[in-house]
Amino acid sequence: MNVFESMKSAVSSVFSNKLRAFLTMLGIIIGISSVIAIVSLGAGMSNFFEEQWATMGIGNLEVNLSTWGDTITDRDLLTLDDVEMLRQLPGVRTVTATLQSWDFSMRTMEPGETRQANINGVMPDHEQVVNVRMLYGRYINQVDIDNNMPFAVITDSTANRIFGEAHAGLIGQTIEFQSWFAAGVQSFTVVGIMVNPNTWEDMMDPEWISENVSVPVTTLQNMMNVRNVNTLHIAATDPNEMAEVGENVIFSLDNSRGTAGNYSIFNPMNFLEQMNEQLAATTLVISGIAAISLLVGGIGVMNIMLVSVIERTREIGIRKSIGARNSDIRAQFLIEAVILTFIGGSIGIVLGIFGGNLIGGLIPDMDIQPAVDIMSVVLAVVVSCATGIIFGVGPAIKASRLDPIEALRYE
Amino acid sequence: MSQSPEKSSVIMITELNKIYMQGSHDVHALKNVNLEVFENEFVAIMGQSGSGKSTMMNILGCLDKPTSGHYALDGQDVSRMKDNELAAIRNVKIGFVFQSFNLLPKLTALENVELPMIYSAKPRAMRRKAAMDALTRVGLADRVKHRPNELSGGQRQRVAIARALVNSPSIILADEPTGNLDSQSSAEIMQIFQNLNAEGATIIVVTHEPEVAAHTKRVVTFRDGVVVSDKPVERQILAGV
Ligand SMILES: Nc1ncnc2c1ncn2[C@@H]1O[C@H](COP(=O)(O)OP(=O)(O)O)[C@@H](O)[C@H]1O
Ligand SMILES: [Mg+2]
Repeated sequence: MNVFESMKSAVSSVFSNKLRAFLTMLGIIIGISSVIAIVSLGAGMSNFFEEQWATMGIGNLEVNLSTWGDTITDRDLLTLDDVEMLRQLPGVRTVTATLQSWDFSMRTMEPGETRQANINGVMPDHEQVVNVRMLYGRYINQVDIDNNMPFAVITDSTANRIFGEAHAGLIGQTIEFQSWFAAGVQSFTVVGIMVNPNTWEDMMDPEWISENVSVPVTTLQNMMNVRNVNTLHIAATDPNEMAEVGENVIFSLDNSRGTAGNYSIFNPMNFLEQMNEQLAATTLVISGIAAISLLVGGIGVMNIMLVSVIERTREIGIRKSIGARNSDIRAQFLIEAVILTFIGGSIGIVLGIFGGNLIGGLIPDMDIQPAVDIMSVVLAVVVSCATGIIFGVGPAIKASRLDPIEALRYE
Repeated sequence: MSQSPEKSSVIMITELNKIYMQGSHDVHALKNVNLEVFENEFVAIMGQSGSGKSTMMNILGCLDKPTSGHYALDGQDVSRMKDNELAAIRNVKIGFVFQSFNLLPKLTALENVELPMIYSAKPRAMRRKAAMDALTRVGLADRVKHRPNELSGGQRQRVAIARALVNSPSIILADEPTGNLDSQSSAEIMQIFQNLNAEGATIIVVTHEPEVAAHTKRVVTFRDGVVVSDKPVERQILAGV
C-alpha cells in the first residue's frame, strides 16, 4: 500500500469524527500555539526595545564621572573642551554634552500647580545623537550657544500643560523657571516645540511627571554658575565598533588629566544584550511548560489511537484477510496519528500567531509587532509530527499484531 | 466429474491436523484431513456446528496455520510460510466471502472492491477499471457509489463477491455466504457462484443448508474434525432456471 493511499484513508478517518479529533488535538494545539505566541512575542519585544533605543539614541555612548570622591578635582570635571578634543578621535561621528539642573520649577495652567522642571543644557549636535522630532520652530543652534541666549525648546506634552495646547503660535512666548532655593524667576523664550520622546510618560503617575526643557548648554552653565557639563554623548560612525570607540574615549580623557579610572562609560548595547538574555530565559521557561502540554497532548493521542485500534478491530481483520501486511496496518495507524498531530500543530501555529498579535496589542503603550520566523514554524511542524510518531507507534504496532481470525470475529 | 486427470489440483491437503491449545483440554478441531480440490471445481463443505468447517476454511484461506500436515496451494507449500508471504497469498490467490459480508462501512462499493488491489499496489486507473468490471459481473454496475448501509443484504454480499474475485484468485472461499440472507437473495448469490464457476472459477462454499449445497457439484462432509464423506452432487440445482 503506498503512502498516498494511506494518507488519503487516514485523512478521511480523522475527519469522520471531527469533535473527537479536535479534542485529541487540543493538547498539541495548546502546546504549539503557546510556544509560537511566546517566541513571536519575544522577538517582537526585542525588536521594540531595539527601536526604542534607536529613538532614544542607540549607538550612543554616555560618559560620566564615575565617582564623586576625594580624588576628583575640578580639573577632572567634563567640559566643552573635552567635546572638541573627542570629536577628533577616529570612529567618532559626533560628540555632544549635556548639563542638567533640577533646581527649578514651572507653573502649569492649573491654578496653584507647580512642577519640577528638568532643564537640559544641550548643544545643536544633540539632535544627531538623540532622536529629536521638531513640531514647530527650531532646535537650539550654534548662535544660541555662542551668545548664551535665553531660548528654550519644550516638548508638546509640556506645551499642553503650560499653555493648554501645542501650536505654532507658542513660538516667541515666554516661559518662566522659579528656583526652589531663591527668589526671582528666569525667563526664557520658546523657539521650538518637539515631540516628547518619553513614550512611557503616559504610564507614570501624573504627579511624578516633570517638564523637560532644552536650553543652550552655555546659558545653563551661566545660570548655574559652573563651567562643566554632566554627560558626554558619543555617536560612533559604526555602531558595531562602539566598544572600541568607548575605550579610546576613556583613554583620551584619562590621558588629558593624567589620571585613571575617573570616568565611566555606559554602552546601551550591553543593556540590550542583557535584556535579550532575560527574554531568552523567559522563552525557555515557557517552552518547558509548552513541552509538558505537548507531552500531555501526545498521551491523549496515544489514548485515542488505542481506543481507535479496539473500535476498528474488525476493520483490521478485514484488511488483513484481503492481503494487508502487518506493515500496512502499522503504517495506516501511524500515519493517522501523525496527521492528527500535524493538523493540531498547524492549528496551533495559526492560533499562536493570532494569540501573539492579540497579546502584543494588549500591552499598553508599547507598539509590539510579534515576529514569527520561518524556523520556529518549521520546528513546530517537525515537533508535532514527531509527537505523532512517538505516541502513535505503540498503538500502531498493537494494531498490526492483531490476529486476523480473532479480529474478524470481534463484534 | 471434476477429478478429470488433465485438470491440475488447486488445493492439496495431506494429513492435516489443527489443535487449539486451551490449557487444561486441547481442542482437536481437524483430524488427519486429506482433501484435494481441482481447478474449476465447485465444492460445498457441510457438517454440524463445531465440526471444524470454519477452522478448515481459515487454514485454506491462509488466515491460520495447521498444527501439523501439509497444505499446498497451486503446488506451493503454504503451511510453513511467514506472515508477509501469507498476506501476499491472501491478496492474490484467495478471495474470501464471509457470512457477515465484512465490508468497510465508510467506503463505497467501488472503494471496497478496490481495496485488495490497493494492497497489491496496482495503479489507480487499473484498480478503477477492474473494480467496475467485478461489480458489473455481480450485477451491481448501477450501485458502485453506494455505501454498504445503502445496500440490501444480498447486494452487500454481491459487493463482497466482487471484492473476492477482483484479483482473479486461484480459489474463492465462502463461509456460510447465505447465512444472513433470505431465500430469494440466497438463490441470487448461488446463481452468481454458479456463473463464476461456469466462467472457470474454483469455489468452496461452507454451508449447513442442503438446499445451498445442492447448488454445488461436490459435497464434503465433516464430523468432529474428520471428513466423513466426499461425494459428487447427483442432480445439481441450477439457480435461475
Ligand atoms: N480459536 C479457537 N480456540 C479454541 N477452540 C476453537 C477455536 N476456534 C474453533 N474452536 C473449536 O474448534 C472446533 C471447530 O470449530 P469451527 O471450525 O468453528 O466449527 P464450525 O465452523 O464447523 O462450526 C469447535 O469445537 C470450536 O469450539
Ligand atoms: Mg463456522
